[in-house]
Amino acid sequence: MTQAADSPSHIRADQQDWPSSEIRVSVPAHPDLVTAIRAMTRSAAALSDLDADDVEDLQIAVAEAAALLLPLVDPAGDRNLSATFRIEPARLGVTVSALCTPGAAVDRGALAWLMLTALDDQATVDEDAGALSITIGRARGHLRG
Amino acid sequence: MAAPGRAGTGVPPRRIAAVPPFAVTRSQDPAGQDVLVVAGDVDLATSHQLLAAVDQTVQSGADAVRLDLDAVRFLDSTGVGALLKIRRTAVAAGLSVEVVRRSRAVARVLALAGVDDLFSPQADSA
Repeated sequence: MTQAADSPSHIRADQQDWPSSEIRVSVPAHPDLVTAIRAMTRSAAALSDLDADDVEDLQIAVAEAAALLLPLVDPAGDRNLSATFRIEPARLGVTVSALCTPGAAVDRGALAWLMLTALDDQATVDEDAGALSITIGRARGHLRG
Repeated sequence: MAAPGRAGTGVPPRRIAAVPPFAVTRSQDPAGQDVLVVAGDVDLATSHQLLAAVDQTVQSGADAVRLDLDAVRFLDSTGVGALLKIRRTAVAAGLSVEVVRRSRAVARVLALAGVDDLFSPQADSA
């Protein structure tokens, strides 16, 4: 039987730096697929050592961001919903984005926005080249003040 | 065409749910009162199913809407919106609405949305 110590170094996770701290997942823009982004959120949060409450909060916030963007998705665009996770030393950031109908805006009066900002009062909305993005995040536990 | 199984084994394929399956079951509590037991995620993808199940219960002449949300693993604002709509519809029909049991996830989100009192046993349904 092969011993772990004999494993080639290229598959030893403990001896490798991550090539990037960014994870990106893209799904068709449909309510049924938001669960896949939530699942990835859970994985990224676990990799970031967030505690259970923060993991749940981030999953809710990501679901709310998706709920805000899905009605705005441009039917003439790629009709995808993307999430980019940035695992930084002090923080896990998540940006949920989609190509949206020109002129579309996030409904800041919606319950989804109120819940999202209750979970992260630093949440931001950006627009770039037709894509609307909502960014939320959580401080990583061991560095939380 | 036959369903694909594990090649060459004759073993039928197993179905593994990617998420806890959403389900609403009509049940009775120990006191004999009707309760709708909800399980899985109540979210953008499933809230309409919850609304339909409650509608059916109301149409069938139920004297109240009692929801057991103890097996709900995830609730988002769409689910909260569905619960608020259920409450509005039921109250308009003269029925009370009560969440008889709630999971930790449900309690957290109802509190976050500021509506937890609306679904407590003491809530005034007037």
